[in-house]
Amino acid sequence: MSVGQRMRRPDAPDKVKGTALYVDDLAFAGSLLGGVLRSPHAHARIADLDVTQARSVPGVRAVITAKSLPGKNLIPVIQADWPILAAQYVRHVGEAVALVAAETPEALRQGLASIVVDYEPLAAMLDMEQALASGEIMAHWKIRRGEASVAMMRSDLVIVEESYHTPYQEHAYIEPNGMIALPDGAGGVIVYGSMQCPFYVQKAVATALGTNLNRVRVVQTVTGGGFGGKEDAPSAPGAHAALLAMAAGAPVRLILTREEDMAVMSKRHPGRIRMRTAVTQDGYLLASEVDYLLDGGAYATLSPVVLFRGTVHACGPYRVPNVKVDARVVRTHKVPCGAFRGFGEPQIVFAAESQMDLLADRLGMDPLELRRRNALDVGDETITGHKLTSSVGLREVLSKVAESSDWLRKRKEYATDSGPVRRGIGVAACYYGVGLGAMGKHMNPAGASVVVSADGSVTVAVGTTEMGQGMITVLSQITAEALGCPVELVRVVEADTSRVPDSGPTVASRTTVMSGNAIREAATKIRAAMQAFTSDRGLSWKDAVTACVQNQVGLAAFGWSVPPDTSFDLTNGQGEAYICYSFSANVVEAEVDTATGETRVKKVHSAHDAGRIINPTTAEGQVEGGVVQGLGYALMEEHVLRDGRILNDQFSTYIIPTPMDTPEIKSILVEHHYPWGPYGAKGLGETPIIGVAPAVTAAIAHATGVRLTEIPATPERVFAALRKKAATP
Amino acid sequence: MPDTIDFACSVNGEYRRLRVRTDQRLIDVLRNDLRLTGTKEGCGKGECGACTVIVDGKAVDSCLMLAYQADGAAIETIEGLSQGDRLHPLQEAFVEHGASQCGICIPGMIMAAKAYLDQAETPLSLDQVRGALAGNLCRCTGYSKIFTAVSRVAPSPSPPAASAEPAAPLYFRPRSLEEALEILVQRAGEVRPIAGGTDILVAAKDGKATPAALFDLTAVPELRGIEETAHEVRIGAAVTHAEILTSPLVARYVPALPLACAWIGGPQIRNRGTLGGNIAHGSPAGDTIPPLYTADARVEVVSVSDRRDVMISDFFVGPRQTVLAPDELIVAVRIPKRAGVRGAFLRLGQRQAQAISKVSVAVAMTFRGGQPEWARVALGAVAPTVIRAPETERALLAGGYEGLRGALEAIRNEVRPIDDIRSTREYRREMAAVLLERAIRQIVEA
Repeated sequence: MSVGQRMRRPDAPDKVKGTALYVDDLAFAGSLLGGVLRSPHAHARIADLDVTQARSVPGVRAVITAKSLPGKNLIPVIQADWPILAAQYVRHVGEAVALVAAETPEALRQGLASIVVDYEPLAAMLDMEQALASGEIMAHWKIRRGEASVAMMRSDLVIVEESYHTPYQEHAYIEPNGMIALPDGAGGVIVYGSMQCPFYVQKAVATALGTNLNRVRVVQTVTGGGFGGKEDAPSAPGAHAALLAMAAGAPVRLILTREEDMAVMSKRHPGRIRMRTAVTQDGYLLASEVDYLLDGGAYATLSPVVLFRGTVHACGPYRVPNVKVDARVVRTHKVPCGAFRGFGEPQIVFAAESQMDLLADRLGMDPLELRRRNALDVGDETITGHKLTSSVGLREVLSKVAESSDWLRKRKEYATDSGPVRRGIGVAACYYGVGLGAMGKHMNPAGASVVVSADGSVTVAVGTTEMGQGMITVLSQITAEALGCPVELVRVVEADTSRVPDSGPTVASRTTVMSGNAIREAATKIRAAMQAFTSDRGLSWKDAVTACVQNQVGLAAFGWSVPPDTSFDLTNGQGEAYICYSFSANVVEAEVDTATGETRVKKVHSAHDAGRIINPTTAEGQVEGGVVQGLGYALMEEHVLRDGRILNDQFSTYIIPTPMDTPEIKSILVEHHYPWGPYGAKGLGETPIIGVAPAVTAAIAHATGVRLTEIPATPERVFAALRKKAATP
Repeated sequence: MPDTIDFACSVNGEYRRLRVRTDQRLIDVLRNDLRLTGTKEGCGKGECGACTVIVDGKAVDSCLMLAYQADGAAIETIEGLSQGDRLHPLQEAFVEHGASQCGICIPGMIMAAKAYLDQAETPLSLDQVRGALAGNLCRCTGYSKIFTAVSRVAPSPSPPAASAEPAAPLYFRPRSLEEALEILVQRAGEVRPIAGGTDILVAAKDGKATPAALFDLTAVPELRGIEETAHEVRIGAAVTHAEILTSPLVARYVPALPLACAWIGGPQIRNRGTLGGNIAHGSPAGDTIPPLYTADARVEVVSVSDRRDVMISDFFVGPRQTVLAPDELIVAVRIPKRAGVRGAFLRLGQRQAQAISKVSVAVAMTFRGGQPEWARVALGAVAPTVIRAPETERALLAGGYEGLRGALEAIRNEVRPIDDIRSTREYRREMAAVLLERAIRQIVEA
């Protein structure tokens, strides 16, 4: 039995020894350094771009502009709008304008400095409301369920209405993005790098070079954190490095500095949410009207799908019979926003869960009880009309956090605190549709190659990636379980586009389910092949393999996993948005210093139903990490921009939690098996971050009586809110 | 082209004589020249701690040291901990407790933990673990399993790693004050001194300083040590924040200073950053400066031809601007002894470690016969330089409730804060009063 065990991570020994090789640790003889000339303007016309001088700088080996691309000037994501290099216009500060490869850092610096760009600055659209008013809409999704406005025409309802604002969030992976590209000597290119989605990079590189996908081999190096930030964003440095390598005929290293990475790579979208929510006097949600707005930045990248996920989860994990959602993402002249753990949910869940608290206040009802009363259960329908037929653990996670935190007692006790430092306790719940869902069907399937060697060792290749989340561990356990072999004999190798077909991205908490099922399918074939030689003979794994080898049985197979079919109607937002959902509840205990506005979170109770847990240790790791990222989002993280330029582009100014800011975290895992998932598993990567911010602001509200509708809840904001409250009689 | 120089050190117990470019950082030499790529670069500015190595028993950020500053030192990197598959107990604990996820921060975490554990006698408490790792960022794990791993390891005193005979040329690493001043005169306008490097190498990464034009002061004995004379305490300019933290002399005569040093950076920064450097940097948010204001400290400045004392409050002329001439060095800070002085330092930052102050308050007072006898109040990050608050001080001398009220009233008018990316003018003004009240309470309750 391997599944369910606290197996040690197979990748841990190399990581603790310092021998694991990240992209910056690779060395290729004759490597050149790649660099990118970037726009200083948020919006400008490129009147002239002259690289002749740069080309003659000694040590400069290649200079590339939009005019000298061998292929198409496009990084393909969803909409065909994102150029590899700006051609006539730059549309955000930091946009790539030209590429240089050089032999030394000095030559690179000089080469970049010798490029002459004549910009004609243009008016920049920097505000998302203005962009909305100007019709700069990248995508607009709707949900029409029941009749929300008609349902609210009753005088016996409790209705709350509020606007919420959420900030940019930086992924802040500790390893900056980086790529190394080298000509493969046969007309193609090999790209090594830090990434979540090798097949995205492959597509971008092939497009840039104007070549076939089979001429581009992309190999993921050990990746130092992703969180969505290495989903689509690495396609740009991947294409840049490959273009330079092919132009120069030499390996090219393109490792971003922290400042460059923070300035130009993707971020969580800033959001503005207006919500009007109606509940009956006995505490049943009746209707909700939602207006959701995201700032997409200059190019669409993943914005339409980020918005889609936010849209379908707009009311939280509750039964709401009448819902009207209008969600839009707009184009501005700022850095493109994209995927970040939670993917459009943390913004809207902050609003939806704050609404639940406001309703509970108005009803005089315990906020946890209000959630319980409306919680989705098996047999219920989501706001997209998706009828849930199994694996709905919401009630249990709510009960678990209540029990773990001693909710009722603390709720009463903390309310009587006096003095400058007050304690508070708050709750929030969320759910998360696992996998790519209705918007990403074409990328849904995933493959796995399982090869058993003569000594009984097993090599597994999948198209999804390890970025720290524990994929290698979990898939090793699934392989061992499915094959019936010792887990120590399994090796899950690094993702390499030449080993398996396009298996979609490593996102959306889909890896355990999709790659896990692909492995199971392959393992089933292998076991069937072994059966004739091993059945009823009680052979050990190794002896069974030996018997098969002697009898010329091929012990290799390919698995391909395609999720159950779903249907969705984009015109009314009704249908099965995702194959299944994970559920989560958080209780946050905090102390607020009312004299300074400082909030110290003391303890977080975080419960999750992610179906069957393959490895409790890696699962807890996902919870703890997500919670701390969520605390950063709730309390301290935001980007400050001036004229479209990010002012805080380093770790001394973009503030993330340190060990000193980290409270005790109690992770609780409940297991409502999902029948189609491998051994009943769903996904866990993202629920941990989603519900943290509203639980924090709920705790602050409980402690102080002021509820923030904007995060992060910095001391300045809490202090100003307390001041305002004191001033209003 | 920058010069190359030779220096000697030991790396993981092995003697090394290295030829490096003068602008190469220690991390560059480890990763590129020695191919010890276990030391990771996450930011290049001493903020993430991924590049932590141990130099002479102390955790440091290898991105904030010029390579030749390790001349004569014993350097330990992550590669020195395991032998083949035999892991160091810390590494074993990280594997056992699932403390590594993406792993990029882990070598730095382990080295920071090792430096602390090597000095410890018993396993670390949770608070000690947090403190030991305060200079290391992780974005995957939420730290929890790292805390567990580190707290489960028993200290095993390891023998100090063998150091090497220093070999760097005096021209870059003077061994006396005289030599240092000579360099300043001979290469006037070309070179700047470096000590801990925690500010200047950050500026260098932003292109605001030239690392090749630096020379190292940390081997100059006249700049080291904390001593007392009959009337004064003298703190050498190259004394680190970590050294100040453990000095009973400083605690007695400038009690606010160690409280301030405890807030600076994380352990790596405190092990390298110096008092003289903090003063020379001249930031209005520099945490050591308000306590020095409240101690009437004098900055001892020398050049080849002159020696002068500057009152700390006369030292700064604007944000990052001081009266220090290009041919001058800060040698020491001298503090008049004042019997029975009580002090406090409070500050607010954006988080609980590695945070630049958005407002700070230092207070020093003496009492006689149940009345305040002498008072000093200084504030950081609320004006173009650190400032004293004379009206506030005067008000405090009245003593009693009136004294406190007067001071809280006065301080609001004495600060001149601005809005910036860290905070707002309004918040800073209000917090100056809140922190003053709390500082006074600490002093009267002491």
